[in-house]
Amino acid sequence: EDDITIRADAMTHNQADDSVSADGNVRMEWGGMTMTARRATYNRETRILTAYEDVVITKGEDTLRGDKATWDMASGRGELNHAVAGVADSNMTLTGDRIVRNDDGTLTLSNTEMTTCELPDPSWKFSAEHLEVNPKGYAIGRNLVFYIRDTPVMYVPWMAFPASGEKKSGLLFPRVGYSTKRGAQLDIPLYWVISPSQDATFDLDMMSKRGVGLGVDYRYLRKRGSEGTMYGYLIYDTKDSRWRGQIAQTHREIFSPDMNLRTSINLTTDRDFLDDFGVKSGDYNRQYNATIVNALKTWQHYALNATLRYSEDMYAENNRDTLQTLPSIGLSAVRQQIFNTPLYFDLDATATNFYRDNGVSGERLHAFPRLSMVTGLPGYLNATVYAGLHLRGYNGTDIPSNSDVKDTTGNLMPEVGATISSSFSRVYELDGESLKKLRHELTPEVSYRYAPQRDQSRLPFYDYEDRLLHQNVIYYGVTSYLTGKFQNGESSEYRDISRIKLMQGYSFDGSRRDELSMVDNSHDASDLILESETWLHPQAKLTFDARYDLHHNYLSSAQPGLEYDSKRGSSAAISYRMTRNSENSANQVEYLEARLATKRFKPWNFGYTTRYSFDKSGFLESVYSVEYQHQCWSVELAVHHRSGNPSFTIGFNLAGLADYASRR
Amino acid sequence: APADGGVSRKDRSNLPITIKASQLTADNKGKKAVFTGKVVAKQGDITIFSDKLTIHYGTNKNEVEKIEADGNVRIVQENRVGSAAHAVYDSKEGKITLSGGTPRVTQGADSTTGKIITYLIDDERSTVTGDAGAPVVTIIHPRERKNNDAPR
Amino acid sequence: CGYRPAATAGNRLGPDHRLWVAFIANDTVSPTAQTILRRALLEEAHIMRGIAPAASSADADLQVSGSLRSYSSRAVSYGIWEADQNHERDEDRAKEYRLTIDVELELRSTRDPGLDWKGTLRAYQDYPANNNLALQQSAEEKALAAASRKIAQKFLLALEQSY
Repeated sequence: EDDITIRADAMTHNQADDSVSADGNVRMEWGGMTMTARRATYNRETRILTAYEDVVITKGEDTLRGDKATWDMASGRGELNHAVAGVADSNMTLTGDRIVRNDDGTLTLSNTEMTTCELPDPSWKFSAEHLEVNPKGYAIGRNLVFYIRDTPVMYVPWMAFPASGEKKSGLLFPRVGYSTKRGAQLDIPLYWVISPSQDATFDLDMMSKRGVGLGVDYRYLRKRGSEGTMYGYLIYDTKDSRWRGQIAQTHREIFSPDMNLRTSINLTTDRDFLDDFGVKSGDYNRQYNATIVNALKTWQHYALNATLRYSEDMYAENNRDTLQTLPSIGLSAVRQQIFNTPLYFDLDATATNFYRDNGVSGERLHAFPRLSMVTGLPGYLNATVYAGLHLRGYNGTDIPSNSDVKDTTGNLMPEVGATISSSFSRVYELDGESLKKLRHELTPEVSYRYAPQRDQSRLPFYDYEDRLLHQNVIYYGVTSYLTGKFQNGESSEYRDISRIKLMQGYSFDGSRRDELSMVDNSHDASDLILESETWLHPQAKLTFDARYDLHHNYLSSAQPGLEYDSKRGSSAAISYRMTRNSENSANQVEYLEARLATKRFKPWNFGYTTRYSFDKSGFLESVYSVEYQHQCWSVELAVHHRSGNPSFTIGFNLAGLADYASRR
Repeated sequence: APADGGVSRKDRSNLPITIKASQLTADNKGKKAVFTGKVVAKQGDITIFSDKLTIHYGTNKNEVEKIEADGNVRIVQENRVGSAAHAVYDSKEGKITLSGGTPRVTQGADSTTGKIITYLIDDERSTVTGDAGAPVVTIIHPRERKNNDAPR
Repeated sequence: CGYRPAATAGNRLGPDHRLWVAFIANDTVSPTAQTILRRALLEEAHIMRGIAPAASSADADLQVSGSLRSYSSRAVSYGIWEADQNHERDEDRAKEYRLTIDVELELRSTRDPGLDWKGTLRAYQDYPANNNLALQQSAEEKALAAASRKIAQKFLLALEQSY
């Protein structure tokens, strides 16, 4: 237990009552805590320290100010009268008649006032008859009144919220809004602290055209490596007069570094729920909801995973055609050396039980063992040659009588291939003002793949693994990497400048399938494929991917994009995506998305997002937001203009306490 | 000796003083006696150790008006020890003033340092004063807790 | 012209190393990322630097371990699918997705501690939507393989940052 050091202009030892009294600029240090005051006395018998006039107690960055303080060194219990307490990281100040620090470290305040605004006369404050702040940074208050300036606005019998910054800021504030689909909306959140490792946010979501919904957002942290979240929403929809809702859950169970179980459940009561209740793009126009359960066990050479996947396709008329994986077991091995030869064994094997209402269901085993020879002139020419065999076995059910798919069938299909590559690099010495050196690396690569023709019409069709291509194709390309060494002041740092890849494929015979593009012409020579990413400036990135169709002599696909982030709250991004598909008109798109957010006009922050579809030659959605940010509160107005469904929301935000952006 | 109950300010000037030293030079004209060399002076429950001790006598021979101690001065009274480079003991007032060097008073494990230390022997009180530059510093070693609850 | 092959380019990672890559820790919704990332790291190390995989972690002088910090797909373009009778808003349908992965990697060298490195890398790969979700899932797996190759390339380039 460390010592108490007292400094003062004068000190008097009093033998009779065994006390020390200090006068003038008294400064006491004890256990990392500093207390300054005009006068103080310390009774060595009772070990009670009392400080008078302008008492300031600082521990770390938090400060407590008062006019009288008593501190029991034995129990650690302290009391401060007419006190003002400052919590540094959420810059919240608490004033009260009395702040008592209990020996378990909790603070109890009686008839206290709380705000994150600067004193005196804060724009808003909470008064609380009783407030308890526990060391984990949670505050629980009873009989609270919320004031704007000095007028009481709301009475809250009970409230809990995190008092220190690093906890998720939890005190939430009602949100008001209107939308054609949901009518006038009032959303009142309540934050509930169950324990330092569990918290939940309930919110009452009242909509004039839909009724009253209840949302719960629950987060828990169990022992090491076991945590999860559960978001649920339920409403009796007065318009459709039925119960509707949604569940989004995640859980992670890390048994050990090489064994875990994790789930991600996403279910809605009906297929239009998100369209009716979703606010953000990605919700109201979501394509599918997937519920996934994964288990994984890895050893040094093998990995075993089991996965269960149930999807709800919201774009289809119904979910009866959607293929479900109930479950799939996968075993894989990666580059396992055979004795000490340059031969390596790889395996990817999966046994899957497929199910769908309409169409063929059943089991499939697909194993793809292969041997690779890893060779070449190391460092000059690197070559890998592989040969493998696709073993597939099926046991299908619900096969229509007229189809030539068999109920139990199988297929063997070899596949061979090779990759040859090299890498050349050079460092340029420049004496630029900040760019000192440039390193350029070029990696040419040629890869070839051959698989014979096989009649797979007897195999059920679940996905592309059931229609392996007859291919005899070569891909050749080069990737250029440019990085730089930048000097600013004393320190130097390395930064990526650009990555540009140019590639093309040529089919000698058979066919080609590029699953990463919507368009792949059916001629022998594929499109010329470009991928490029260039940092114009540490805060500005230009991306440009494209495909050039040599037969039609036009860009069959182009995706230019520009992103800027000032790292000080202002950012902008614009991306245009075009794909032209003469052979299959469904696989086309022409779309523009732009985003702008700026804090340059403080205290006004502006935001604008827009999505424009050339297919429809109209705006799909535009969101305008303006936020007035005061020192300790802010109000944000957001207008969502979505074709046929304009809506607006007004959200209040108490700085340090409520942070709307991060909520759902 | 049993501690005396009442705390009245007593005039100690006529309490007997015993002094041990290696050398004495008395100046009977100047009514002053100077002891040097590992001087130990005792009067009642007070003991003064110092390199040099000068006694100033009052009007009549055996009445001590003031004692000055110089060099490694240590004054001991029960469990309280004062130390400094120079000390003046005014027995009429029952007051010792320590100054010079790093004046310090220690009581059990606690100690206080400052510019000037004033001992009031009968009041059992000592006052330490600092000045602009050097504040008074007290370091208290909290004793083992009386009740042994968990350490903070 | 000053360009030299990997063997003599004075790269910090020359072909004379034996590399071991552990399965990448994966607690995301992806069932296969641990394998695809491990294979991509081993393949790129040979494609770009001529480094051969070691038989076991014991006899490798370079050990790589890591964990997949995030795996997420987000729609990046919307448009019209072929007209669908009873859905009036079929002009706002996801057409292309972007798979983004963040991977934390660590390199330990038993021969030259100067090579040790630790950091988090991000890569993404776009892929088309498909009205058959099973085929779209297959495209997402190919996107994961492509993004994993980019992670491996960025990793190998980051290790050269001492020129």
